[in-house]
Amino acid sequence: MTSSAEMSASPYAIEGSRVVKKYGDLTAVDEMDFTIKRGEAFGLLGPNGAGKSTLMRMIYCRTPLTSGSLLVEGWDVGQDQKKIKALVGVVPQENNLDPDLNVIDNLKVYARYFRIPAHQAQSLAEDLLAFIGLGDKKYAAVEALSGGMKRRLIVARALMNGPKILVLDEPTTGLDPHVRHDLWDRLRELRRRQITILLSTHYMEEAQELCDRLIIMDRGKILASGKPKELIRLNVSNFVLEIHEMDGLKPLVSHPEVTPGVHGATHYYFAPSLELLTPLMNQYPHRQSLIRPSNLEDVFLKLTGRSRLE
Amino acid sequence: MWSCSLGQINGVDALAVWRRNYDVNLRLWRAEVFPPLLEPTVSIVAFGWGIGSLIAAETLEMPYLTFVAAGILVVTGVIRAILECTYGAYFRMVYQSTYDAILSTPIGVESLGAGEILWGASKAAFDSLLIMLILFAFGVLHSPMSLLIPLVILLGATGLASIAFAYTVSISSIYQYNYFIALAFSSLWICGAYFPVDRLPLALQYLSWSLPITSVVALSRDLMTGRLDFWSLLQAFWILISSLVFSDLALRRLAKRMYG
Ligand SMILES: Nc1ncnc2c1ncn2[C@@H]1O[C@H](COP(=O)(O)OP(=O)(O)OP(=O)(O)O)[C@@H](O)[C@H]1O
Ligand SMILES: [Mg+2]
Repeated sequence: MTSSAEMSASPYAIEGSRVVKKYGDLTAVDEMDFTIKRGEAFGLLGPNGAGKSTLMRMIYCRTPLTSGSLLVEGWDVGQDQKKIKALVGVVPQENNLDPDLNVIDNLKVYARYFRIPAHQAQSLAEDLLAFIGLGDKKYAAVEALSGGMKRRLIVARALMNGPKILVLDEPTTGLDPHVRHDLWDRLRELRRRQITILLSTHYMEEAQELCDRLIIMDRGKILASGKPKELIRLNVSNFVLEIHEMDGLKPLVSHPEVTPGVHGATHYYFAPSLELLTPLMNQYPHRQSLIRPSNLEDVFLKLTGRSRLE
Repeated sequence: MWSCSLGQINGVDALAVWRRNYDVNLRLWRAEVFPPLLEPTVSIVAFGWGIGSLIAAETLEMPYLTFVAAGILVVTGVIRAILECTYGAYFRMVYQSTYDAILSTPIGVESLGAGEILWGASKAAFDSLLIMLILFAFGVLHSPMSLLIPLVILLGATGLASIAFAYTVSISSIYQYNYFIALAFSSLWICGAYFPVDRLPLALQYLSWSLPITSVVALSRDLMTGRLDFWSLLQAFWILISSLVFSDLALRRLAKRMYG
């Protein structure tokens, strides 16, 4: 058993150790060890089917663990579901708004599940709709909202219980750039309020912008973890040369400090300095090519590409 | 180790789930309240007068109108509860992911199931109450004990809604309801609603009395006429026991579906 005394002692909002989730023969999450500090924004990156949603569902007590241990604010997900769920706000990957209720009633019905008194729920719901930019849609039918509005409504719903931890499973998938940047601003504001944020995404830019630390995972295993900048520094050199439409050609080996890579029809050359890359670029004057600073996407492709080859 | 899942129900949480359905229905009350009452009321009066004119009241120890009114009252409620806990529940669970959303809040899975089942049962009780108001005008209710009928229907429908709900959380396609609905609706013809069970061949009589709905019909009829006896008590006991057993089954199956 864990106690709330322990909870204040630990600096971690979420602690997983040897967390395993199996679906029949398939191991969706495979002995993951990780900690998420209180108040930090933490990212989960990984290809489709990597196990991101499964891990998140275990954290918000929607799916039981097969084995291992998982503590959320010091409470055990196997025993203290009710306490954990009271502290967590959830934005699931799939929309599950209530189509039988209008926008504001979607929030008010949630308030009842959290035992928030009705008069408080009304004003809270109105505040959150304003915060998320849906103030003028209070009485709209859920079905009449665009995809982006639905997503925002789910974020508002996740905030109804004043969560200490916000779990967002691909919150910005399908949103236009304006709405996405808007949502990022909101999330930054929540972080300033010391809410711990756990976020999965397929947008590397999003992870780089929002996350203090992140995990890159595949097939239920952690491939790398750390601060975004650190991950870039440790896994790829500073600069990349991309050459497109290289179908069937083998990358050249020009210098010990240049690391070649192939992804589809594109060749990548990583190097610590620009001078090492320009001569290579000149070897293919008729191809589309580009030299740029390396980024998180390079790390992602390198790590997950390698794990897929194994 | 076997433990009763009914002990895991939290009343406030179950009520919150119930309230969600209530709120949705309240918005649709015009469509939800009156049309479903028309058919049962007409059928009671039509059966009562039409077939009643062919049957001497002595055969049944009461006018056929009274006899069949108790039956149709129960059958109407039970159909309502079954539809709520089959198609209604399936839509919420599968197509609207309502259960998924609820289970991300502090509501436990047993309270979720209890709220859903109770919702189906209270719709049955509510319908029967409204039909009884009409029956009162026809002079069919002979005893003030009739006031207890909605309570009996509430309890009985809890058991039958639980059976429907247990089936709902065990299927993977809406077409699988064909089997269930066929069986459920067939049972409505041999539950003593339209004619006394003792007119059936012996084997069917046993089958009939094993169905909790037969006891709900019998007990409701006893209350309507004010003739309670030892058998009435036995019926009440069987209704109570079967409701407890089937609701426990339904909640355990729901937990398996949601977390298995
Ligand atoms: N309920 C389930 N039953 C069986 N297998 C499942 C279930 N849920 C997930 N899986 C499997 O577990 C693995 C991890 O799935 P998960 O949804 O966690 O991936 P993800 O990283 O969230 O992917 P995506 O980026 O596509 O959302 C996948 O192989 C998936 O098929
Ligand atoms: Mg996912």
